[in-house]
Amino acid sequence: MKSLKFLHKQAAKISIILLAGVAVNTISCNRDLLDKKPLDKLTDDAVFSDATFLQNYVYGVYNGMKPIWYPGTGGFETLTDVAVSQPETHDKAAGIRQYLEGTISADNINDLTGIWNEEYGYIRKANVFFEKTATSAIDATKLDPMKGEMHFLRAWMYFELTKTFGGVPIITKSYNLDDTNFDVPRNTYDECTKFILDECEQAITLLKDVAPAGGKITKAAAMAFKARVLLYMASPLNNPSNDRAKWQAAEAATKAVLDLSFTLHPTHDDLFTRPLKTDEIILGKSFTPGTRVPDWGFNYDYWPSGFDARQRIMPTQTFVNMFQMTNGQYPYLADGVTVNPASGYDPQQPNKNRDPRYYSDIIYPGAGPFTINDGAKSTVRTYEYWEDANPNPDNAAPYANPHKVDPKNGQNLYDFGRDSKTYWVKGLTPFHWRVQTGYTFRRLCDFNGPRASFDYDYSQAIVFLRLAEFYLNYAEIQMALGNEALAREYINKVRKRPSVNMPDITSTGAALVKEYRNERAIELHLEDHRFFDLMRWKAAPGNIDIPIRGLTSVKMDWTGTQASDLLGTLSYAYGVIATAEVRKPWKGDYYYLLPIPREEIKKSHNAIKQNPGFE
Amino acid sequence: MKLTLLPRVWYKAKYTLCWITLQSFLCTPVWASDKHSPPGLAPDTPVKGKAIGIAERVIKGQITGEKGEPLPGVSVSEKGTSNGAVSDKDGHYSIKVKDANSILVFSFIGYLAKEVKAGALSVIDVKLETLSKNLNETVVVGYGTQKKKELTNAVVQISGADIKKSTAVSMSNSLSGKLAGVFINQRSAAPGFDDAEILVRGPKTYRNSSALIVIDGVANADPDGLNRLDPNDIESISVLKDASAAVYGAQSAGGVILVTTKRGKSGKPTFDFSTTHSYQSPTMRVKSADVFEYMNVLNERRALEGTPPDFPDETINAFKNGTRRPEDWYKALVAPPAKQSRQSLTMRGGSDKVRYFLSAGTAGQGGILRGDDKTKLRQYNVRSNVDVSVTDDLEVGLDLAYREKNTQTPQGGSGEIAAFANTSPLQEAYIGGDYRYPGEGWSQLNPAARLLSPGYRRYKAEVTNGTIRFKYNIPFLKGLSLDGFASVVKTLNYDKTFNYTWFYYERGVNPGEIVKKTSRSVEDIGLREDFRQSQSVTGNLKLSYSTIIKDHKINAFVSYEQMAYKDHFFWTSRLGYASPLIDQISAGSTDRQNWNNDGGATEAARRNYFGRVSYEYKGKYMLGFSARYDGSTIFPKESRFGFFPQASAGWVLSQESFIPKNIFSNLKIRASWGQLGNDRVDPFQYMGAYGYAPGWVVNGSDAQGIAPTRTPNPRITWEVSETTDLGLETGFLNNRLTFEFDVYNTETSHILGKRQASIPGYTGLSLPDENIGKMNSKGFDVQAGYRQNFGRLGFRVNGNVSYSKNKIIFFDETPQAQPYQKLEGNPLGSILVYKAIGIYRSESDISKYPSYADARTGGLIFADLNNDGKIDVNDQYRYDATAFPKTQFGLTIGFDYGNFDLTVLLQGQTGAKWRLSNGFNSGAGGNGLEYVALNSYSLKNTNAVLPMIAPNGVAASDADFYYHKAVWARLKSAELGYNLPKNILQKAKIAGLRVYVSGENIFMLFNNLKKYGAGDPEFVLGNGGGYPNMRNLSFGANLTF
Repeated sequence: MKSLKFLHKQAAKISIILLAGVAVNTISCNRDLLDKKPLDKLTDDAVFSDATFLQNYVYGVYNGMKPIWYPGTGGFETLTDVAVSQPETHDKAAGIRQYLEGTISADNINDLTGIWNEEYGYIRKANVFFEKTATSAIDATKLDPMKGEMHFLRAWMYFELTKTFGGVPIITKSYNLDDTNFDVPRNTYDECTKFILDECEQAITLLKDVAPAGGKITKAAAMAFKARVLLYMASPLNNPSNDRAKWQAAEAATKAVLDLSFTLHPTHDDLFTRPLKTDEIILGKSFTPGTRVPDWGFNYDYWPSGFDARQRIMPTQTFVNMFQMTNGQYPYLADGVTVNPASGYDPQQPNKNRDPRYYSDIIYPGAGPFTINDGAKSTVRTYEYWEDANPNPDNAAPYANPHKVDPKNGQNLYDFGRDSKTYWVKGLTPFHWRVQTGYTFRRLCDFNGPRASFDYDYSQAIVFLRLAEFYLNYAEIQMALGNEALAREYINKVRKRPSVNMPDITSTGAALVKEYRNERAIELHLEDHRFFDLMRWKAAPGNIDIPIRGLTSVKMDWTGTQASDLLGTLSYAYGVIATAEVRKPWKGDYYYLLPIPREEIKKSHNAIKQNPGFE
Repeated sequence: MKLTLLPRVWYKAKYTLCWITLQSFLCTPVWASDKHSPPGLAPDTPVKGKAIGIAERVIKGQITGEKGEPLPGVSVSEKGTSNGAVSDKDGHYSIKVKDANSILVFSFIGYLAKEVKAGALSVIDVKLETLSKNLNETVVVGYGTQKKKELTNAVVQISGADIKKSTAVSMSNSLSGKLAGVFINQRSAAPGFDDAEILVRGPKTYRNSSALIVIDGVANADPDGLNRLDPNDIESISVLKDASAAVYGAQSAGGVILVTTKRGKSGKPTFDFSTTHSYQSPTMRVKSADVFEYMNVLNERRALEGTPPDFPDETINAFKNGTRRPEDWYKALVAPPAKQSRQSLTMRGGSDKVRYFLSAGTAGQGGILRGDDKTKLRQYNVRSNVDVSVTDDLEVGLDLAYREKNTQTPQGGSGEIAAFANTSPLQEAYIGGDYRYPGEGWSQLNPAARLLSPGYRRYKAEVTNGTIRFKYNIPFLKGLSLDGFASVVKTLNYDKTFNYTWFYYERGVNPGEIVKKTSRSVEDIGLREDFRQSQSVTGNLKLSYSTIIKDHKINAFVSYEQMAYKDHFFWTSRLGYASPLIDQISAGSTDRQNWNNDGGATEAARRNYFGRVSYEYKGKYMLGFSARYDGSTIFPKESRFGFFPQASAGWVLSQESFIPKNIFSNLKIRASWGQLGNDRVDPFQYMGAYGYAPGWVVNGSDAQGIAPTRTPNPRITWEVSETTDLGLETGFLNNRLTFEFDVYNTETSHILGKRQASIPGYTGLSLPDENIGKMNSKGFDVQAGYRQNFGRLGFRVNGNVSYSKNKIIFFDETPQAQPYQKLEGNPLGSILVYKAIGIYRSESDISKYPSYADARTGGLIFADLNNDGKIDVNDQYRYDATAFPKTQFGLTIGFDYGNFDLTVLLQGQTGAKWRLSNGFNSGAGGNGLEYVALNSYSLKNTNAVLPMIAPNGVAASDADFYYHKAVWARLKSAELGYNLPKNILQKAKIAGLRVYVSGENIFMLFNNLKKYGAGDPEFVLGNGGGYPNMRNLSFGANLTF
């Protein structure tokens, strides 16, 4: 027993010594215990001294070029005569409504667009890039092209800001937290534009030896962008004295773009699917499984209602009426109601003999058939925008539909269009949206894929700059310079694209201007041009403050149809859509620019002055 | 073991029954000898009964302690005589007394003497109260323990036994209402996701204010804090509410919660088995609009706007004449009861040298959704605390604890049940009301149909903790000791998410036909597995000295502690599963474009030096000081160490001669001051850092992007809470009646915030956190207790009230804001809203008041606060909209009577704001509260209480109108227990068996939000959508052998 106690004591002593030793060890050997680094982050040095990382940094800034800018996705189209928004589904519905009702203000501008902060965020990244690479050891053959891209991108961001707000503060340094003063006044529109053009010039020089690659900013892109900027600068909003020199500058720059080796892609439809059609597209973006279209993709935003797609926006009748008959005549006269007798248009057969782009851009009642992928509902259907095509589960009269069962897969047909309202009211399908014009945009729908899926790799491609725009820009410039024949020639080039092949236009004067603008609206819709075109032309009255017209009623008569027929006889009624927003008369010239967020003015201690009319 | 102590109790049980019956009829007052018992219940109250006056009689009975344990050796005497007796080993006594007027005196060391009038009865059982229980109680404080009477700080403690009175699976919920100054709010009841938010004395910063959880001395020993511990393992939980937390330095500003687990005791092993089975049902039903109210309120809105109605008459008629079936989604989806159970087996015992506490437990919980076998919680806890006395001077302990938490939800999560509140009643949750056929729901998201998916989400967390500790009493100097521990906490997280499509049903073409449909793929079809592993190693070494020199008592220690933390994670996923049968990565698509993965790692470390001195003179004057010097990897090298001092003092006035002893059995005042830190911020913010970001597509292939993740702030540091506490402790009636009152003031500075209001957006800075904010919080905690035994009826009541309010002292605000828009001076959670002064009920109202663009009838009228004749954002004012309560109270009432015990807890709070949501739309997810549907402005109801639903423009802005103060009180819990008579148990060789029935969230006593029908007010859910709060009905048993 005693020896045991002794042993215990010894053991105790030993363990104390050991513990003390361990303790001393932990303390002394851990001198660098607190010297830790983040394990999953890159440092400044790594990013700016490694050419690969640096290029990756540049690619990060590329994202400042957004596919179909705000509001929401769907672009600014719904602020124009081209489209109307679906308020229940549109992320920016409040802002759109406020704009159209004439109440957009410095307080609610962020409901419409957050472009101010977003673009300046990217501008800072560009500024940091220029500061950090000023003394870079990276080889010039690698660094210069990156600098070129960055100059282009910085110009792009400023252009987005100037076309929205007019002149903005030109920030070329990177602020840091220690700065004591952040107050900077606005530069004028001309100063900003000069800065943008300088940036483009630098990009052109720095990118001169770089081989083009799909999606990459190139010398051609910089030239094309410069030409666009000059066109904006020459336009009435920014050129109140109609200074001819500005038009000439635009002409020269545009001609230089036309002289590059781009050609019109033969099929218009293909321009918006991957791969990028680099014969026509000067700058664009396609998507991969790793960079899928954000959120659920354009299908979710544009797909016709009847599924729980958002269908944020719809074409107006005004837009549909811009599509000529194949004989080159408009279906309606200028009032949009009276049928143009020369056109051969029949309002009860509205889909006959239209400009081929009508069929690839508009989904109208009876359009299709489309492959519709939606789980077990996948089928092939025409677009049924008519009342009660399929209203009763018991198939009772008077809506007897001989085609209730899909011949393709034996499934019960479901609704795809207007009758989805009935369907929805039955509690069968959950999403129906109130505002309907009867038409849907087709350009950015991918019918090879499902309307909404995280899995699917949609094939849409985004166009930032393409040759057709510059043909049209050139035509506009020539009109301004008084060369109508040359203008017509370039408009007709666009109309002569093999897949379009519309007759030449021959009009002059005001009619030519109108025809040009319609042509431009059709050719470039959903590419974010129409709204800013209307702004720079100062052409909002009559083009923005319009009643929203569409199909108020479409009926289907199945009489005399065969079992294989997908359609009976449709009858159409046209009118103002009661559920659509009521657009208030144009507020006046001040409304051509958007207000700067009030908070930003306050934060600058009033160094920034608000746009007139919004104070 | 206890068996030897067991009384022969069958006869006693009979007596007990008789006694209980008699007692309840006769109400014989049996009072302790206190002079301050309420009048009318004085010992000399005449006693009715025919036995009065019988001379020379024998009185028998049993003497027990607080917990009903028999007390041997108690002396029993007849007052005024030399007549006496002593209780036997089972606490039984027998004494001859003169007559019914004789007074029996029971006295025993450590217990309060008690006098009982003999009266008519021949059996008098007595329960003795422990002397000054409160004051001699040991309270766990940071790095040590103190006697309650020695405390100079505001510390509140709860015993494991009291925690066990709650059947909540997540332990934070068990503390609700029981601790003064500790605000506990539950916000969800989803199994596994029902942890309450615990804030000690309310929020002190606009950042993370949560308390530091320390388990057996190891800070952050469990990533789930105390939530997933087994209550059967808990000895006590104490909360350091004031500056005493400063001994935990940079992590202490939110208060510190110290959990102490049970340890072994010398003696034969005792086994405890406890089991509880609970049935859960929602506390309150959410009243959504029914189909007619729903269609009506939307159509009325359209009528007001002058646009076509959302629902045509045919639709309304179809419901009226029964051709279509409306749905009550709440009823359809919620199908109580959900089941919950907990089992635990512990073993405790030891010899002089080795003592052990071993425990194994499991708890499980199910979901409330109809037919839901997916929502599940299952947790396992194992613990072994072993202490070895190696020599007289050296003790070594080893604690091993392992726990596992398995949570499973249906695909999409348990929160989806919330869809019941806003899914359109036009939609059928079940086709024809047949539970076999769940319908499509909103966007194919009917939670009932989603249950049919083979998909699921599983979260598994394993936490293993091993601590080796030692204490060595250094022989050459008495009172000097060295102790320390090394602790390893390893956590493993393994989450598995499998998504697939499911079936739902639709009405077919033919009458009565029901068609099965496959859903679209709402989530990517595929499998993702997440693995995360972390390890933290804490080492502590402490040198303590304690001595008593005459009237001076000194305790002191210095300590060093360090912690190193590392974690790494990766996840991998595949999309495209042809079949759900094999839910393994290898069964996914072979197309590598459908493969994905990511991973990363972090590490951190702390190094701390600290110490404390406490001094006491004559048990009257007490002083305490502590200081901590804390360093961590979170901050830049030059400024990573911080100093956190604390000082406190106490004065026991009742020890002074000028305080009348007969009034105050205890009177103590105390004060403390200290600086506490809060370093819960993202680490390394002082460095610029870049991470991978979205890139671009070049020639059809991905090109990687890199972007800065933040702007560095080289001067970042911890937040500092400077806190002062004044406390008053009083005890009356031999400390049977106690009050404790604390008032505090906390100034928090260096609060991290972004300078978002003063740095313009055109700088492009993505703003980092900077130490710019200041906030003040103050309040008080009161607790009061009273206990008294009335014969065999034990009665105790404990109440607490906590009040906390705060205001922002500095916050980065946009210059030139209107004075009434400043956040400064207003409480945390204050937002900018319009001040509603009515509803535009007629066109003339619109011109009568200053109005906003597109103001219309049915919209709210906003006050023109700056009197500029128009309503714009400058008319918004700062309004306290916080969902955090200002005041809460808890009242515990306990009775025990013979073998029965009853504990009741009342709990309530006030001061939290709840927002009424008046959104409705005609989409499938557009339903709202019935109250709103019935009370909104329309052409037919121009005197409505509420404005029109779904207004546009400025009218849709947030206004004070929608916020309501939530004031409620509920019967939080009640438990009725019965200890089976021992003579029955003895036959089965059982030492004790207690069975009980208990309830949680039993009913509301008061709820000022009741009329809105938005569900449980504690959850503050706008339109009631959410996993509902649960009422539990439980049955359980504790078996000791």
